[in-house]
Amino acid sequence: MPETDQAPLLELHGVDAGYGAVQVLRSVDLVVQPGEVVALLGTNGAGKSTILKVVSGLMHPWAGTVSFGGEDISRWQPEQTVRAGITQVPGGRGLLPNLTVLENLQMGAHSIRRDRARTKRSIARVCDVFPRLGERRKQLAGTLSGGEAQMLALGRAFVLEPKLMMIDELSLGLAPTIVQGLVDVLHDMNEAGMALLLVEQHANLALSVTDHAYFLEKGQIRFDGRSQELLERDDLLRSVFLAGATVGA
Amino acid sequence: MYYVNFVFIGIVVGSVYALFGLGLTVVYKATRVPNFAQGAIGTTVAFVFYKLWAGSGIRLALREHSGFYFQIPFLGGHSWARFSFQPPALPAWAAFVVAMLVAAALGLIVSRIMRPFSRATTVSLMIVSFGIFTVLLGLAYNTFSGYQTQVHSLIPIDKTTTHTFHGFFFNNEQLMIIAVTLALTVAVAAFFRRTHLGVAIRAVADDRQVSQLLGIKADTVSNVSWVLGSMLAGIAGILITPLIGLDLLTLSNLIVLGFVASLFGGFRSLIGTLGGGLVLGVIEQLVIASPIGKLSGLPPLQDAVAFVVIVALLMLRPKWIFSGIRVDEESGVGGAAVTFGGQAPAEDRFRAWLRKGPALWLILQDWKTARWVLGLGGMAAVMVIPIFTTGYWSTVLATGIIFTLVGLSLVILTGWAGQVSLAQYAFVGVGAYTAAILSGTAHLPFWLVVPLTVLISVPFSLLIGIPSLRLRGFFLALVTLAFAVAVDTDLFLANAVETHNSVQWITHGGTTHRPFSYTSEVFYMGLAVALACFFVAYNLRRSRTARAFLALRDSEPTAIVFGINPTAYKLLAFCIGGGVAAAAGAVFAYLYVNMDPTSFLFIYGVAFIGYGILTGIAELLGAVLVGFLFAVLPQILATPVNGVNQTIPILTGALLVITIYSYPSGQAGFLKRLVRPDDETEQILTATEFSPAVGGAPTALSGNGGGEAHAAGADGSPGQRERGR
Repeated sequence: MPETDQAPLLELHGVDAGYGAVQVLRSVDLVVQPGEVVALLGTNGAGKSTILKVVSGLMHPWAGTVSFGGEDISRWQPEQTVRAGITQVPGGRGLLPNLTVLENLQMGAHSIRRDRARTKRSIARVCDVFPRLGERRKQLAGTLSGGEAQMLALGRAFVLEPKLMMIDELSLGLAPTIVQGLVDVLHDMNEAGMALLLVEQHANLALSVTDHAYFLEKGQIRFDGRSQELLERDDLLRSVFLAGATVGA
Repeated sequence: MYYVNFVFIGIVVGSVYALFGLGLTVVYKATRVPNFAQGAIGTTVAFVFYKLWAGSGIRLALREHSGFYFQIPFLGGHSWARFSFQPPALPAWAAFVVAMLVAAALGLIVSRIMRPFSRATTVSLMIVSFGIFTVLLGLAYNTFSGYQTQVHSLIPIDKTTTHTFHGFFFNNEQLMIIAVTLALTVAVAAFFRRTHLGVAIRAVADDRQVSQLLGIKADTVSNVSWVLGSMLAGIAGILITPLIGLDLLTLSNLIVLGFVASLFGGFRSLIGTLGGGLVLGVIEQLVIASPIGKLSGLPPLQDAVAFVVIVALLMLRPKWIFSGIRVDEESGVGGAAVTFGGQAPAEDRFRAWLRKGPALWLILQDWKTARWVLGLGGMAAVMVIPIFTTGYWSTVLATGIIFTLVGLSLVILTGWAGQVSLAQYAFVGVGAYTAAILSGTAHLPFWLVVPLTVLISVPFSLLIGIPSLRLRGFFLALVTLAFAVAVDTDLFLANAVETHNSVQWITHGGTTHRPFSYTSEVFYMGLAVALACFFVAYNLRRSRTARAFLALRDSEPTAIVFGINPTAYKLLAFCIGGGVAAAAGAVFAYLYVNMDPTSFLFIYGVAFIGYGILTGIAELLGAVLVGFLFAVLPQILATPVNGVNQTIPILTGALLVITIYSYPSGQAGFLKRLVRPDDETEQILTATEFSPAVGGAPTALSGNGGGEAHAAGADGSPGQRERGR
């Protein structure tokens, strides 16, 4: 656990969670500092997306606590966590395909819908960041290309100017050049003070853009450390991913 | 001008269909629920309105039956359990406000009941909505009395409100219906396009979980759409009642026409729904106006028209309708049924509760022995009773046989072959009238009538069997429902059929030589028919044919890969199912001798799906339970309320909802699980059609997957073996 004098933005402490009778997460500890970019790595089925669900309030932990900005949010509903400043880019794009681009963005601004001026301003800002979205505002989200869809998903999560954005599989199915473009945008957002929790299977990409990384295996944090250091120790990476690969096969 | 008038009436009637359809589309858009309870909601709201409205004329027409009643169900109608209440007479606007509040309340209740099913397949949702429909209709009978009556028009029809224009007639009420429909369609469409809440409803429909991640309260949003849908249904009910009369069943029937309208809009487009309703109304009126409609002895043909239109639409699948919905892989029409876990399977909790051992369970610990004792003992009792009793109990038991046979037809068709049919009771009607013609008119003997009846049912089976080749799940159910309604309201009322309504007695000769009463004879004859059918079914279950059925049910693509011909086997399943039900119909005809077309109402067909699911739709034993629990037991407990005993429907509907909640596959059967809770095999026979509500992930993970392989081994069907891996 990195020691800093700041209070952590997001902190999971001893979190157990699961579906029905099946436990997926076992005593997970994870910390995201304000403005930090954190990677959450692991093989398929390790429980990465479950952690995101627990944080966003779609699932509640069986044991342990989740706190955000010092407040215990373990039992919060999704609409509360969104209002508190946590947004998510769901895996597999997670757009609303039968809504237009603009309507998707409006739904991203759901929590501030009563403040019309702010909604308008926020959406206009997203369209500045991603001019393509502005051009295609009337188009159905389901008809966008893969890169545009991911732009929309990012833009939609950014409408609220969250304190923490969680991204489930940024790079999945996208060409490297497009991923690089998105990473640049994320970098700018981070510069402006937004913390990022990046869930990835693509370890090299994740480690090269993050400050800190956690490795999840079978629902447990196997190890964590500075991304830069981990990137140099490919023996560690290989042990995790190859072990996972053999078990999975 | 002759046709112009009919077209105009078609537009008026079609407007009301469109309003029903609008409610259905709104609910389906937002929640994926094909809401069969919509008609019952509209009916209830219409009853509330006309009972309250001072100008309805109902107080004069019904006198002491014009108020509200409530009878606590299950208490057998004792006077201390009955309440009646004569509401104050209200002006129209006040009655309307109250009626809309009732609609909103019903919408909220249904929304709450539906909440745990948000990830269920469309078919499971449909069955839950049947349950709600049954309960609601039962309660409505309980509260409003089943008396039919005419009501006054909303705008009194007199010289000042009726207009003539060169032989073209119309009145203000008709204009109002059209105007209200147009205004509501535009308003609702604008609501979904232009308002934040409307877009949020569409967002939740698209992807519930993603919407929640955006901070949208999915449950609240669903509530709004249910309230909106119920209100639209209520308005439709209020508008159409002056035209067709205030009657619980006639109004509930309109659901089918509403579904056709919705289908035109692909269950998605409101404008399409409006157009669909209008087209349907106009076609129906033109058929009535045409020379076909003039043929003597024909009943009004709207339901037959609806059936033809629904089949045509679904078979031709015009692109403008079906761009959005996938009819083939319909399990999750529209929104994907994403399998994110969440809830603990209710099944586990239920089983844990059972294990703790309520008294019943302790008694049935040794169920393997006990069931033989109970079964044989019960069988013997059933056989002997008709000898010693008078006609009443043998009639009851013979009805039990009829119900059992209908149950059997569903076991084969739905349980094994996976084809959901709401029309099996309509086949009883087909069989009964066929038997009446063969026996009463052609004077054939019983032992010839039954096999011939079964043969003659085949073309009828093909009528719904052929659409099944291109349709699955909910859409197939819709076709069968339309068929049942068309048969019930059109075919059986046609003079050519209706006049043949009595059979010859099975045996000739005077009563003095009879060892038993006539009904006892029918009972034993029926028993012989039933035993023959069960013998066939029992052997069928062990044959390659039944394994092909199961394979088709579980995964059609896999079955095809293994060389199973879906066309042949599906049609065969429909023919066997229809044949068994028709045999039941022959027994029915002999039992009741003189028949009445209202004996075969479509809602019985809907009820039977519920019965089947409660008793275990993939089990032969389930069919027997259908007969015992729903034909015999009610008579033991019977105290009719307002002429109809509502206890069983209410109980059945409620249990149905609970069953789908606990056993989403619909195949385990609540009652069967009650006696054999540890039997894993049934739950595993989870067809694509009836696939789990809670989602594959938790079921697969919770260790029940092991049994899957076991079932596959036992059945050896390719589809299941594939699934078992």
